[in-house]
Amino acid sequence: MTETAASPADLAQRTAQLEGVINNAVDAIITIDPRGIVVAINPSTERMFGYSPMEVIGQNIKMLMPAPYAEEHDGYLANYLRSGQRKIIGIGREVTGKRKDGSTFPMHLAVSEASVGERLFTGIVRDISDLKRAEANLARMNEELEQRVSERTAQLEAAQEMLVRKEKLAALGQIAGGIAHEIRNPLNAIKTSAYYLLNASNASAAKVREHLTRIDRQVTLADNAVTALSDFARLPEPERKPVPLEDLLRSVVSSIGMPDEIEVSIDVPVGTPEVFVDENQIPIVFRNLLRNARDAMPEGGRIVISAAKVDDHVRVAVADNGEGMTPDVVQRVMEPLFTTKARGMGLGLAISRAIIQKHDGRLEVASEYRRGSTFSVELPLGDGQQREQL
Amino acid sequence: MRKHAIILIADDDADIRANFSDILSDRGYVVDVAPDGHAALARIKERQYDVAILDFKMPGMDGATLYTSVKKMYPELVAIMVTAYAGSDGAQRALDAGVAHVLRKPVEMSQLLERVEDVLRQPLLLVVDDDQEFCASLWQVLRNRGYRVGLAHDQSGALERFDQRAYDVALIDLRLSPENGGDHLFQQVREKYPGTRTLLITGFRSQFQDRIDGLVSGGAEVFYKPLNLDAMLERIGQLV
Repeated sequence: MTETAASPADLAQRTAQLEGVINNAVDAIITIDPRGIVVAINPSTERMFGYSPMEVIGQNIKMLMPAPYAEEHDGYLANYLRSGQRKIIGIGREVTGKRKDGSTFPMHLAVSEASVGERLFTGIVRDISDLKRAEANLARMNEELEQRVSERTAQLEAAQEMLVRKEKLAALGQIAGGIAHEIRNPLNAIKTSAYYLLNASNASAAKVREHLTRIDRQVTLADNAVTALSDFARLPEPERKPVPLEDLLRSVVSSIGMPDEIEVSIDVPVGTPEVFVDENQIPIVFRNLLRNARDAMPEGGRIVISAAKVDDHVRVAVADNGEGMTPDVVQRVMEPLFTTKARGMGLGLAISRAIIQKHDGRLEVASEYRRGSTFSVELPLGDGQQREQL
Repeated sequence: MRKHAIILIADDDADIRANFSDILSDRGYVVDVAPDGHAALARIKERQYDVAILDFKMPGMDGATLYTSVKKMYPELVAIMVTAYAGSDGAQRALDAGVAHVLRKPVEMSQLLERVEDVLRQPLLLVVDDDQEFCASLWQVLRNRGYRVGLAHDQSGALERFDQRAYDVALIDLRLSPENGGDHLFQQVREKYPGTRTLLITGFRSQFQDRIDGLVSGGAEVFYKPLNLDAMLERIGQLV
């Protein structure tokens, strides 16, 4: 729009239009002169601040501001007029307004400068109380949410801690149950022998000796149970050295009482390299596997021990054609204190697996119910041998 | 009570078998041992034991399972179970099956001996009824009252039992079989085993009224089904 072509009628119409816009604006529109004196306000200003035009026009704008802004306003204006440095003009910011009744409210103020004959400043003021309230609400809700999240987190942490504690207790219960049998049976024998010795009406010297020997033997059994458990809890690091596999297997087999109905064969191919293992620990593994195989064949059967070099290790399989295991037993068979036997703590395979793992190997099981089981052990080769193979 | 009560010990631990055996023998009991459940069942088929002391954890068959089989064969045999885990599922299962006592290892021998003596003092009853469920529930009721209870389901089975053991009281169902009624058995028992007191049970008051009247006038005592248990238990208590 340019003013040059405007006719007086156009001008009147445009003035009326502008007045209409200003008078109906939702925002308060306030015009002041360079001294800060209010020269015009629109009706929204009256509603927002509670003053009539008569009370405001001709007064300093600072009447609409609370302390300390009111006191500082003259200085701001003078500073701007002197230095041209804008703090608010052309920028707009959030400030605080003061109503006639003295109450204050947050408002957004945008100030523009215009020179219409004289220099004038127009402020457009929007009451942002609702916005601020909403913001405050949001902040409070956020805070509450944070609070709830941290409470819930604490609850979850507590629940998890409890779960861990419960699991520990469950493990403890399992251990206690496992030990109970292995300790209470010897205690039972000891206690009943003691009862006999104390109460028998006609105990011969031979009987007395028999019961004392029994007490002695059963104390050893109870002690063995405790030793087995503590050995398992702190298994020493293997002291590895090259060991001929076939010799190791043969000595293990000869150390186990096998009934005549069970046939054991050892097949270690000629040229199988020496294994690099702890010569005290590895026999424990094979003794356990052989005992299990034997116990799985109460009617007799065949145990085949076979070795084969696979990559950088030797794989030894101990296979029986005994009772085999159901899938749920297979799944649990290496758990400590799990046993299907009436005698024994259920530590054999757990210890065996721990030993093999300390040798960086693996202990695996394959079983078919009523057909038999095969346990496979991976044993490492010595460093030198590995290099030779390369 | 017999002069020498016979006790069976089933335990897979040879030392425990030897100890129980030594202690009980020293007390004057006759003792047999079995290393597992199957051996125990074989023994029970051959001999009329008074008490069985069963280990819970044995290879092949646990003590609770063993007792379930024992009870079917020979319900008057009272079992005491010994376990490393009292309060376990196994102990509860044994008690549910009808094991009289569960003792925890290490066993307090004086307690075990006391239990054995208590059991041997319990009167011996025989229930003769073809209704097996009725027998099973009566067995439980009478066991809970502190009786040892044998069961027979027909006349020949009952006579076999009377040959084997001296029962203090026999409870005989009148309608054992169509051809041989309980009254026949009743007469036989009265003649052959005068030491046994006999109570008759019947569910057919009207049909057999003449027979019942005849028996009653001959001195028989009759209880009608549904049983007034309190009255019957009171009467048994007087008889033993």
